[in-house]
Amino acid sequence: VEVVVLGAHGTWPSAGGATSGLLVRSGYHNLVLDLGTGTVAQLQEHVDLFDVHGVVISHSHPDHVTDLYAYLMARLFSPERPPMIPLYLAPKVLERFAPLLTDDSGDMKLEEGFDLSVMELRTDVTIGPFRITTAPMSHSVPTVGIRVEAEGAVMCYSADTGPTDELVTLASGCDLLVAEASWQDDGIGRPPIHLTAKEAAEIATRTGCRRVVLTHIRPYLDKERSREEAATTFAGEVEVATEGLTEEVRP
Amino acid sequence: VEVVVLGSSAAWPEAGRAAAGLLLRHEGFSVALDLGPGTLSNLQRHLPHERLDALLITHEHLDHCLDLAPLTVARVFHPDPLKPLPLHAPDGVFDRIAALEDEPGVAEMRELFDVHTIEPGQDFEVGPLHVSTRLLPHMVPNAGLRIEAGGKALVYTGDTGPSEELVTLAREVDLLVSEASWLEPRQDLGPIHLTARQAGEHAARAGAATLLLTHLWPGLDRDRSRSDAAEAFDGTLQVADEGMTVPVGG
Repeated sequence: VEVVVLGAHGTWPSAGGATSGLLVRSGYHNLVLDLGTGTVAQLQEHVDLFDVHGVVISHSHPDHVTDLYAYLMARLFSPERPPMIPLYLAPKVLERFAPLLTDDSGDMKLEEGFDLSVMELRTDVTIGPFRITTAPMSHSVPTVGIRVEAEGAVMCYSADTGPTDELVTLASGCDLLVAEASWQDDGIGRPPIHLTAKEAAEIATRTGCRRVVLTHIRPYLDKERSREEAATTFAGEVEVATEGLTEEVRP
Repeated sequence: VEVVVLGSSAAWPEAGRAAAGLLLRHEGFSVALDLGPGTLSNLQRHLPHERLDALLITHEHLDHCLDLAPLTVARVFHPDPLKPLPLHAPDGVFDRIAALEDEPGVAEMRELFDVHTIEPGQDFEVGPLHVSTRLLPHMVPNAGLRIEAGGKALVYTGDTGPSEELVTLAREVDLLVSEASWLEPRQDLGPIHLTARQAGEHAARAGAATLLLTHLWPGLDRDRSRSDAAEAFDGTLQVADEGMTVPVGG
């Protein structure tokens, strides 16, 4: 199993960057987790635009979902009409996103490009070889963390979250944890909606995972410092996400 | 005066590309013309986002304005207080992006942007730039933009079908940045986009010095766009590419 970072930037992109998105690959099957701004262009650096077998969106914030618009356009208006694929949306995504698709020239509907499902916060679904489990995270809107198992390997993606035991449970024993680390320093006095690098590393330690990739780092932060802060509380390997970073995940 | 291509794809970005966007620079004054998906990221290769002096948006389709959403949060979280950014756009653009936000979010957007509604046909000033506009035919109201500064003039079509208004707007311009969405006309869809050949024909009839083709449909053969346009237009011809800088006039 391979995990490819399509977008590593938290909240908005800096030069050359994209916001949240991951591609999970197993054999010929490809799964996309979140579609932040810039991720559709990045996706095509790795696979054909329509060689995707499912999409899961973790929550309604625009930095995780706006390129769903670009992807829908591509699926509806390409000369080749691609086969339908499943699209799983966290609660509230559809309400926030659908108004974007409305204009005087005729509405586009997500249902025309995807087999659309709205998830419960706790969901088990299977897409091809991917067994997907979600759990509620601690964020300002309903958000799911996503665990993906394939070929006996396990990756887990925190989406956006503050410190929560739900993430520890969801990511338990995973081979790779892709954890948000929006902030640095001690995080004290901040609302429990994002993690500091150190908090992400503490959670990684509690899950027993071997490797952690820090993502969703705010664009103005020094990423090397995030890595160093995480390394103080996690003994395994710490990497900082960048667009195009590819991680092999083995059991 | 020069323009930098921030995005050249129509509808959705191809690999390594972005949707519609241009950066216009004149003596330290910087304006983005459209801000489609992926263009905010490319813009920052040329200047920090907070150094933008104004935004001009041609119409409400998201491939021309969706990066207003990340620009909004980038400005919210900027460490220094920022003056409201002048945003000139036809009716509908602000509301389209504001639809993503809840009520407090929309109030915040209103403080971050100084919104001016373009009534196509009107003229206005943006810093040192004189802007005149024409309603060009598309699925929604689209303001073609003619921008004059330092004795030079450029026209940017936004999205348009064939139009006498475009010929009038682009009369004797130094640079016409024209959409060229298609290679073959799509009669079934009505006059909403130009083929590359039609873009060349409009440039020739307007007497434009240079034609820059952009808003090219993903997957089409850009070499053919160039050769089709060249059959109708014998001035300087370029096909947009992300990061390309094109001077306006000599």
